[in-house]
Formats: sequence, structure tokens, C-alpha cells
Amino acid sequence: MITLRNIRKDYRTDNLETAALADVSLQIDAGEFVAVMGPSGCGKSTLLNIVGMIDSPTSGEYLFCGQDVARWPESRLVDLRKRNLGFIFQSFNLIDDLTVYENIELPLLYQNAPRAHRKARVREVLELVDLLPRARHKPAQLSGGQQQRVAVARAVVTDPKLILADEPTGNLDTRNGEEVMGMLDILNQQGATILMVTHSHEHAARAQRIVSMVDGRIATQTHVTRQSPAAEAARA
Amino acid sequence: MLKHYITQALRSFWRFRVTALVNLLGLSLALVCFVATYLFLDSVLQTGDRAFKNASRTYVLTQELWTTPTNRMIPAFPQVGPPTAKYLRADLPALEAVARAASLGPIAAATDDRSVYLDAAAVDPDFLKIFDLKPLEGDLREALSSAHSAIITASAAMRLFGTKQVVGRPVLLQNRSEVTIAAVIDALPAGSHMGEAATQGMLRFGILLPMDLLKTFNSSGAFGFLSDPDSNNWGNDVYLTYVLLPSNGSVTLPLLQETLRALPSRHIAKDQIISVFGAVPLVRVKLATLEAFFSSSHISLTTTPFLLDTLILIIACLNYANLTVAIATTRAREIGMRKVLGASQPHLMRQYLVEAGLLGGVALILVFVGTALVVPAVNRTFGLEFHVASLLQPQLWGLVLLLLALISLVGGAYPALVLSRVRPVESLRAGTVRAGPRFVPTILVGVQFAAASFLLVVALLISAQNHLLQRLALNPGRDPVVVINNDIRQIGVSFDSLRNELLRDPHIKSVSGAITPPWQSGGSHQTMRRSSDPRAATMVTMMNFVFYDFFQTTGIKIVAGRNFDRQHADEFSWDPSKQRGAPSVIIDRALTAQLGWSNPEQAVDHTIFMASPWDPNDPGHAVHVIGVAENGYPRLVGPNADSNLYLVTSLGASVPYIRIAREDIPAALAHIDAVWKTLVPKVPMRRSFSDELFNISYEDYAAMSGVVTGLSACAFVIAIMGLIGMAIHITSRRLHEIGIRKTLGATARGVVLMLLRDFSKPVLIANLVAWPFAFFLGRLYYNMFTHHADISIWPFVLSLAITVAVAWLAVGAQALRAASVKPALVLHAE
Repeated sequence: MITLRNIRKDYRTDNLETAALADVSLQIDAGEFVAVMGPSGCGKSTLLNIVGMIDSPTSGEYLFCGQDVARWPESRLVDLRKRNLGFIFQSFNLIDDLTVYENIELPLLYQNAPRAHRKARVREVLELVDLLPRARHKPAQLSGGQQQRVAVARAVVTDPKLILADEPTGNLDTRNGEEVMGMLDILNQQGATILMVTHSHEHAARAQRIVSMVDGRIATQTHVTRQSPAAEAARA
Repeated sequence: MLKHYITQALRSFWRFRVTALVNLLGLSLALVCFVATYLFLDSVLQTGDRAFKNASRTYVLTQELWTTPTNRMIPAFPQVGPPTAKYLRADLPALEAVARAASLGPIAAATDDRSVYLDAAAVDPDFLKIFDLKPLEGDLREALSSAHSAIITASAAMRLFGTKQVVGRPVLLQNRSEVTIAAVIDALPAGSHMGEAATQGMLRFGILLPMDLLKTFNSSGAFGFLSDPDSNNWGNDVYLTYVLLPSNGSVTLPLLQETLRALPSRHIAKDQIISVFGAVPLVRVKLATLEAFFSSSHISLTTTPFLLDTLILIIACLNYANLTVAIATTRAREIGMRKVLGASQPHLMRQYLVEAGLLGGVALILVFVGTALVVPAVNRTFGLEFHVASLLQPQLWGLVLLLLALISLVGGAYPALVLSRVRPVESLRAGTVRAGPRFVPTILVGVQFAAASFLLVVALLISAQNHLLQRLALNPGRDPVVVINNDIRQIGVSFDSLRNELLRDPHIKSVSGAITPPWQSGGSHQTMRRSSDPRAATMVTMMNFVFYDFFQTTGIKIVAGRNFDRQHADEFSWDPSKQRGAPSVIIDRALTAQLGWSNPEQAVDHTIFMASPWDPNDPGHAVHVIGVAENGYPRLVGPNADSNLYLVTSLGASVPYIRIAREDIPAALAHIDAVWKTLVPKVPMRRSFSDELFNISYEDYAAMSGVVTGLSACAFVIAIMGLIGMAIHITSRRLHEIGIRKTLGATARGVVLMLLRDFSKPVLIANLVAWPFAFFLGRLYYNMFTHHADISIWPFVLSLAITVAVAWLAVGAQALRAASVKPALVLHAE
């Protein structure tokens, strides 16, 4: 599903050039749950951003479902992103002026989905994350765990092929973190491909593969014994 | 999706309500200025003339007077010389009607038991063909067929007779000419350039007389400058001349204009002043008059206010764009997230344009309400008569909507364009983002302040000029001058008798006269030369016909040479057989300098020449300078002449000027009233103080001053609101920096000074940019007036001080708050 070949990402300022990613190659199959770990500044979030098409590589190839999107303009990437990807961030990134319902509905609005479909789908994912009674609340009225569940709901409302999670439990306590990880498990079992950046070994162990990064490079890749049914089918 | 945009916009307005309010008030204020200007000019355009049936086919002739092919003496006033109508009829016989009208001003009208003053006008018979006056009594068709008939308005009839049934009744005019009322007419349309409510300079009348009757008045010396209506004096351009194009289209406007262009070459002798003729539509006649008065300064009465309004709208627009970008940069994370979730550039642009449009919609309501509230105050301040109903003109609101749409587009497009280009990863990482180049907000604030400073300097310059005029006219330290606003020559009063009787009382200090009351605009222009050589340089001056003792009565000092006196028999006569030697004249300081003398003493006893420069062989008419007077003839606007030449003539004994002792004004007035009653019991006296006449003439300029001052204040308010909004955002964005500075040892005072300095820089630069433009416009305005102040540095310095002080006040509160922040709080939050 996703193939990265020799991806490089440099950041330039007036006096300094920093290689955030150096010669990274990675393949992710449909249905896989992949965790990316490493020390701060190793490039894992940069990797996530590139896979999520919200940042572009300096060089290298990025094949998404067979298309090389590395040099695509933003206008094309926007379209691909909204149809195929869902994002979950550490700091939730909900829009404060919108209610829970409206935050979740937003991706469907950008896809010009019909009203009836939007209503039904939002209701469905609200039930999935057990937040239907809070539909009219604003993010400021929710706890951290609830906000992240809204973020999860928003990420899956368009039924994306790939879910990208950047330290989804980083701002949560243990219990809420567990809840969010549980949801990701369920989504993966239902066939979603997940790429997750995390500092937590415990949470990383829920993935099928752990990619370790150091200084902008992939150091190791470890397969975990547990496989999702969808991943198994894809490998076959 | 539109519902989403609207919902988002409303919630955003609430979240950033201070900024939203600033934007709303700024936009609304700018649009209120626009609407007020529109209504002001609409009243000036006298759209009441549209009510005449033939208005669309009626034109008013204009005439420019040129002394040479390159020197225009008089701009295109909608008044022409008396022979114009006759020759135009001959050249274009297909014209349906051509009629002259001459304003006679107020004349005494008496019946057996009552005498009042009525504004009078003399008209040609065709006048009644052109204008469909509404008869209440009598037959208009024959109303002015006799030289001694008259048409009276209903309200004038009530004043004079106490009833409207007055057809066939006699009226004694100016104590000597009797007319019979042939018809009574209803009031003229409101806002028309003619009628009892017409403004000064237009065709004000309560009684209409046949043009033939004018000769009767004229034979003894007409009031003002009117010459014989049958004369060939092309330069006596005081006749309103109306032309009615035929309804069958056989004469079009281009044909009329072509015929007018050819009129001089066909009919005006080469030794007469050069004339250029044109025509304006009836509905623009008052505007054309005002534009002609202002033409010497190149200030257009229509364009200038709208340019000023445009400036204010630009300020409001820049404000909006600047503040919206400022807010949006704090919404960067939201914008980044939206892009992550699939918002394209058009989505984001639509979002901001909807926000701008919504704000504009609310502004529209505020504008309507605000203008309706402001109308009574504007009426009171400027003596206007707007009605709230005039706000309901569809074309006005069409314009306002168009402006709002433009502002929304421009004001919303910039932030939308800039922010939609923000890369999502940058905004998500940083939480804030710099939208657009760093210098843009500073430039936008600078431009706003440049415009505000420009308007402030112009307002201060205008105010200085107005103060000068008021100082000249209204000097409380001087003995007051009373003007008897009657043409005593026409009503048969001997000036000497009046003078002698008045001077019996010790409260009367001096009596003199002039051909017109003081503080009129316009007058008799005369080209002068220093030598008889036709090739010598010429200059245009105002020629003033006065009587003996004029200077001591008006308080204008003689600074060199001598005054006019009876012993020297200085009186000028138009009859060469009665004129011995070159006539004596007194010139003022300004004319002395224009003629090339560096001090007044040098001009005394020299001969100068009244020239006709359109005649290349003309040696000029010699006059002898007996003295030089200080500048200060009581006139507001030339136009095109700001110096004076004085002649003593019998015409100068027309309007008496009386200097009275300020110690006992009531006693002096009582004596004047008593003398008048003795001399002319049947004619009511119209007396005014000179400064009252000044105030009447000055109204338009006071209004203009008020308009510019008002617009300056609005521009300032908008710019300050914008600065406050910017200060709020910039200081909140710099909290982290301030926290670090304070941790490192900066004091609150030092931080405040640093912030104030940063905000002062664009304000200082803005002033420097604005000054040359303000100086230029101020000079144009000053050049309109006969007396004008010197442009000093103080308005500019004051503008700088005010703008900086106001900026500091506006920003100071924000700076103090930011400087008082506890570093731990800010750094911990980061």
C-alpha cells in the first residue's frame, strides 16, 4: 500500500541545513498496524508527516497505492488526503469553535458528502466512540480522553484507507490512553491500516511491526507475533 | 457548506469580539461618511429642478472670460452676457425657447398698508414656456406681456397683501415703479435652484418681473452689476440664460454646443473680451456655479469629497485586512488542521469571504441606522435640510452594496489568499504562523496613519484659513460696521442727505458706501498693466466701486499716499467729458506687489493702465495711483483674483456702510432707524452688521471645513481602532519574548518603551509621507480665497504630535498589560 524509497527530508535555515530523514525506505501493507519509535528528534514525526502527505520529501520516492506522490502539488495532495487518510494527533487538534458533532462532520463536508449521509455516518462514529450524548458540546467542555476520542472519530468518519496517529496517547493518562489504544485495535481488526508514532513501548507492542528510528534513519524493524486478520490476508 | 461557513464566522466573531467590533465600527463609520457625502452633494445638485416638465431638454448657458488666449479670467459660470440669448436665437431658430433671467436681489415692495422686501427676478417672456410654473390665480400665458405686470408667489402674496387673491392689485417697487399682479403661482419644487428658498447666487425670487422693467431700474443705475438687458456688453455675465431644446430632436445638445462655440467668432467684436460659451443641464446648474467658484483652486466639489471618502474607505479596508490576518495567524493550527482534513484553497478563501461578507452585512444595517441618527445633527450643524426619507434612494444603496462587496472582497481576499497558502505542517508544529511578509502589517498601519495624518493636516490648514477670515471679518475690538442692504439710488434716497443726517449723532463715526454689500463672492474683474505697452505683463484684479470715506468706515488702513477726498474731486466718471485727467485710484498691497513694486511708497503717484489684452493694439486706460491700502477688502472669493483696485464713483453710493461706536450700539442703531424712517417712510430698511453678512457668505466654507474635519476625525478613529486591534494581537504574540526579556532583567518600563517605540515608527514615517500631499492640497484650498493665510509649519507639527500621542494612548494600555506579565506564567504555558 505504501512504499517509501530513499526518502530524504532536509530542513534549511539561513545558516544551517539539518537532515531530519536520511535515506529512509519502508513498506507498509494494507491492514498492517505499524508503530514507529525512537528518541526525540529522530525523525519519526517527520516520517509520519510525509506518509500523511502534509509534508513533502526533499528527495526519494513515495508510492501510495501505486502512485508516486512525492512531487505532487498541494492541491492534488489535499484531494488524495481527504479520500484516503485519517489523522490523530497528540494534542487532539480539534477546532474550538465547532461542536463535537461539527468537528467529526468536517471531513465529510470537505468531501461534499450529502447531508443525509453525513448525519448517519457521524452518528455512527459517535456511537463507536461512545460520545453521542456529547454531540453538542464544544471541545473545551470535554476531558482529554474524550477529546482524543472525538479526534479518533473524526479520523475514521470518512472510512480512510490509512490512519496516522502521532503519539495519540501522549497527553492522556493511563486509563484514557488504554481506551484510545483499544479503539485503534478495533479499527485495525476491522481492516484499517495504522501507522502510529509512540514513545510507549507498551503501546508499541500492540502493533504488528515496530520500526525503530535513530538520527533520521530506520535502525531496526521488529515484527511482533500478533497479526491482524486483514494483514494476514494482505500478505497472502 | 454555506451553513458551516456562516456558523464558523459567527462563532469566530464572538471569540474575537473586540477585533470584530473594531472592524465593524471601522467599516460602518467609513460607509456613513460615504452616505453623508452622497446626501450632501445630492442636496447641492438641487435635484428639485428635475420636477420641471421640460427639465430633460433644458440647458443653462455658461460663459468663460479670457483676457488672452492663454489666460482665463473668469471660469465657466452658468451666467452669460445679455446679448447671448438674442444671437443664439438668431443662429438656432429651431430652439423651442431661449430666456434670460436676472436676479435683482431683495427690493422694496409696498402696498397701501404694508411694505416688505421681496426677492425679485426679471425674466424674458420665454421663461414661462420653459418652466411650468403652477398658477393659483390669473393666467400665466399673458402674465408678463406688459412691462408693468408681475407674477408673485403665494407666500410672497401673503406677506405683502395678507391674501393670495391679489390678481389685478398694484405694488410699488423700490419706491418708484408700479406693477400690477397678473398671476399668483404656487411654491417652486423643493430643492430647485429657483424660487424663494433658492440659495444665494441662484435665481431667488418671490416676485417675477418682465425683463423690460429691468431697464427702468437700470436707467438710474441698477443694483449690483446688471447692465441694460439690450446692451452688447458681453462681459457683463450676470444673466442666467435658459435654452429649451425642441421635443422633435431637431436641435441636439452637440448642435447647441457647436453653435455656442461659434458664437464669439460670429458676433463678438475683436475688441471685446474673449468669451467661450457652453451649456450645462438644468439639474446641474447650482453645482456648476459652485464648481466655477472653486475652479481656481482645481478643487472639484464632487470629486474631492468622494476622494476623501475613498481614502477613509481604504483605511477601513486596510484595517480589516490587517486585523483579519492578525487573528488568523492565531488560528493557524485550526487552518492547518482544516487543510489536513481536506480543505482546499477555495474552501478557505470562501470561508474568509463569507466572514467578510457577513461583517459587511451587519455594517450595512449599522450604516442605515447610523446615518438616520446622524442626519438631524448634520442638518443642525451645516444648516441643511436632509430628510431621513432621502436615505431611501435605491441608487444610493446600490452604491453602498457595491462598496461593501468590494471591501469584503479586498478586505477578505488578502487574508484568505495569504492564509490558504500556509503549509499545514508548519502551522500544526508551531501553532502560529506568519502570514505574508513581516513588513505588511506595519505598512498597512502606516498607510492608515498617513491617510489620517493627511486629513488632519488639511483640516488644520482649513481651520487656520477660516480663523483668518473670521479675524478679518469679525474683529470684536473694532467699531462695528452696519450695512444698509438697500440700493438707495434705486429708491431715490440721496446719499449726502442720508450721510448728513446720520452724522448728526455722535454714535455714528463714519458713513460711506459701495456698489454691493460686503462679503459677496465674485465682482468686477479688471486686467491691469504697469505700462501702456500692450505687450507688457498683465494681472487681473478686482475693481471695487466705493464712495468717499470708505477706508475709514471699513477700517482698512491707507499705508502709503493719500485717501480719496472731495477736495481733490477724486470721483471717477464714465463720461469722458466729465473726467479731468487720469482717474484717481487706490490699490492694495497685493496689487502693488503684483505690479512689481517692492514697497507701497513706490507705487504712489504712478500711472497704471486698465487693459483689454484681447485687443493687441489697446494702449489701456490710464489711472493715477494716489494711495495704497492694506489688503482686506471684504470679499471671500474672487475668483481668480486676490488683489483690489478702488475707484470712487456715484455707483459707490448705492449701499451705505456705517461705522458706529461700539460703546453704545443700541443708540446708534436707533438713530439709523430713525433717520431712515424720516427719509424713506414707505420702504423698510434692511440693515445688517457686516459680520452677519460674513457669516451668511461663509456658510458654504464653514460647511466644507466641517466636512473635512469630520472626515479627518472619522479617519482617525478608524486608524486608531485598527492600531488598538493590532496592538492587542502583536503584544499577545510577543508575550513569550517579553517573558524571556523580563527573566533576563528587563523592567516593565523598559518593555513599555520598547513596545511604544515599535508602534511609533510607522506613525512617524506615515506623517512624513503625508505632509507633502497635505501641503499641496492646502495650497490649492488657500488659493481660492482673496485673503489667505500663510502655510506655517504648525499644522504639520501638531498633526505629528497628535498622531503620536493618540497612538501611544491607544497602544499604551496594551503595552502596559503585556509588560506586567509574569514571566513564569508565560514561559510555563509555552
